[in-house]
Amino acid sequence: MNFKIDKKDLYQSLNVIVNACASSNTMPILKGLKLEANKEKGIHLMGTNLEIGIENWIPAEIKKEGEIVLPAVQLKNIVRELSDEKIEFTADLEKYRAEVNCENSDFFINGFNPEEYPELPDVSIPIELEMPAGKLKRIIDEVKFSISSDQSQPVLTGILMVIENEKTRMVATNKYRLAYTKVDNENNIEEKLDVIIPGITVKELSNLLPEEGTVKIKVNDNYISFNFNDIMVVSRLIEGDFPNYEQVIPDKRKSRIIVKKDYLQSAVKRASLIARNDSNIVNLKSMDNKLVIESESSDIGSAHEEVPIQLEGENHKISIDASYLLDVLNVLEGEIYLDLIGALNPFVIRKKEKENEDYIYLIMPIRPGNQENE
Amino acid sequence: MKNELNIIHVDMDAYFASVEQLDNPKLRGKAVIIGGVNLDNRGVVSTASYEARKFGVHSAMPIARAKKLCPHGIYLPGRHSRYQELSKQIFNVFLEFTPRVEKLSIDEAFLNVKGCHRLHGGSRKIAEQIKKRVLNKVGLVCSVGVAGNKFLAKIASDLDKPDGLVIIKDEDIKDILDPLSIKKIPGIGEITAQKLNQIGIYKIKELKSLNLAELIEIFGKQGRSLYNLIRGQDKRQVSINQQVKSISNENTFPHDVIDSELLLKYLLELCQKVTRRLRKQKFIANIVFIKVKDNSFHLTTRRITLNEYIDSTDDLYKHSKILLKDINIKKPIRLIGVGVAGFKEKRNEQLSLFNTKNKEIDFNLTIDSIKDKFGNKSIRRARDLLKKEENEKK
Repeated sequence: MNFKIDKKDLYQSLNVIVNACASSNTMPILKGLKLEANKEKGIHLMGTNLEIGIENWIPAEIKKEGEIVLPAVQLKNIVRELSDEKIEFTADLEKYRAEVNCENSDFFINGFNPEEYPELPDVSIPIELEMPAGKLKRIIDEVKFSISSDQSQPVLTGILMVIENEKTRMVATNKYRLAYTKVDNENNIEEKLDVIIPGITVKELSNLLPEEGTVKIKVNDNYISFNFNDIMVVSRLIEGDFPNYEQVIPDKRKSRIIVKKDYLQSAVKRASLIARNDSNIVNLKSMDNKLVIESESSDIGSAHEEVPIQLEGENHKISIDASYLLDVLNVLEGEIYLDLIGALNPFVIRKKEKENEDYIYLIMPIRPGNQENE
Repeated sequence: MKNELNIIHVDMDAYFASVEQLDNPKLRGKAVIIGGVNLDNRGVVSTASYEARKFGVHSAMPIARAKKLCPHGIYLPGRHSRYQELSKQIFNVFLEFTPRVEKLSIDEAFLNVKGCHRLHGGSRKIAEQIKKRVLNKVGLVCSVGVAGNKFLAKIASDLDKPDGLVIIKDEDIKDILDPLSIKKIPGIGEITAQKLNQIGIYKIKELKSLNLAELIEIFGKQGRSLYNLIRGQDKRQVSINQQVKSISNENTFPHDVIDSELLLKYLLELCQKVTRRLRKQKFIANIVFIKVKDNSFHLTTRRITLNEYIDSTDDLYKHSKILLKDINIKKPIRLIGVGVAGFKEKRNEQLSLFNTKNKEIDFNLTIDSIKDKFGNKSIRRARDLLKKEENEKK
């Protein structure tokens, strides 16, 4: 195997692939990535830890074809430090040894037999769907922060994706808060499909997805793949039943608060400077045309903030975890709706309605320990 | 500056056994062994009187083995409420001398007597008075250690048991510590001791030959404090907050258990006990640990730090079950224990979206109040009945 390649192209690709390679405590070969030189297609890089796999094609001047598995992190680190723009890459396919060469540097790297490296699963097509990459990235970012990190309930450590007719929905929850988003599909999907995509995959996708272009999504019972910009991400799906999210989204409200996200965000941020020293609780209280945000910590002191609002309905108060509110405010813009039913009912945050799009975020309140229920 | 000898460690001598001998004069001068409740030979010794210790019986030894060593001994199940009652009186004596009392267990405490000398005399005098007061008021004998820090005070109280009073002055530290077995050091248990024995280290003097880096390599973070301890240095304060750090319960089975279903039933029962105590303290906890001892006395422990704080039976059961599954059980099990730590005061209740949890909270509180009113066996889970059946079969 012999080829010349642009350092920047190779490094960028390695930087993507390395995220799918195993990091530790596993078969050594899984810490590697597979590199294949093909005169017609270019250089193919692929990494997988069996949970997630990423592959990528990049151009190169290929003199001799071949394939080899090389340790991913080391290769990435070496390429990053090389000073030349062009790198020459040669591999001894008998000894599984590669030589990385540029003007003043010459590295020999020991690798593995490519035939022992796992293939990526073939997600052949029960369901195929296309979506603008920017849109997919946006809906992922709108829900991904609600994923649970509690490994004892695996289904909550991923995002539920429901594809049905003209709509795609995404839901994530950690039992105490829930994010739900719904968008239109570009093409009508006949079959209903719901799958749970692991949190790690979702976070990788969010980093990799470009603003422009289209993503091809393929799903079968066990795997999902995302294809964009010569990159393919394949992931195992989480098995199990996602909790019934439809049941917990309230269909009524007693009051609606309309507020500018920026005002609310900075007020809650300031109040949480006090709250985070204790249990991170902020108390919200609507008083006609303003929302009062208070927090208290027995050691540090207390905070009082006021934000101008429009109120439809009666006044309310509710106590919530400040971080749950700040998480959602990070992904919202402009004016937002806060819908209330009571101090022990879900607190609902919505975008000011946009046609064909729907975003709902629920926070369960905190029942104050030393007060009677209302 | 010279260390002032302000730290006193008081340790009651053979506490449970002595209380029995106190309440029942016929037991005095006899080998009395307090151990596992109603479990015949399967429990372990919790306290042996000094008469019994002469036969080699010591705490944590299986009752069956104790009976071999000391067949004529008097074996009693223990009366914990009585021990608690006297313990309160003993601690009240400590508080006559200083408010700075750190409770280590039911029969053991550290006292910081700094600033009490004008009122009560020097540290030796205070130690003598404590011994006298405890004997007069409660009728029990204790051993007292006086030194400049907690580690040395605890070593001191152990040097001349029973009825001891030992003062470790700064100039004697080396002579006293060097010949002691490494097992006297808190944190060095049987297993660590064995490891050190393998590299020829039996005494503190020999342990001192390891430098700081070597100790850190062997013991991790604790290496540094160990390095200081064996040189007689200990910066820990006597902390007055007698906060509970963990709550746990364990159960030695009447018969070794191999059936995993039955094991889970015992686990559930323990989870109920632990969480009930937890709720009583109004704590929530984020660390769960279990221990399992097989019939060859091999002990395995597992612990996990959760992302959430829990206090419900079902949550503890769920997490401890995962820990249990993680243990590769090959032999029949004789003991299982479960516990929680990492406490936070339960002031505010984060409600859950999927309201099984909210119902569970009410459910647990209802069960607790029934048990408070009508006793521990007044209400139980259906799974517990299965366990009862199983036992009756055998």
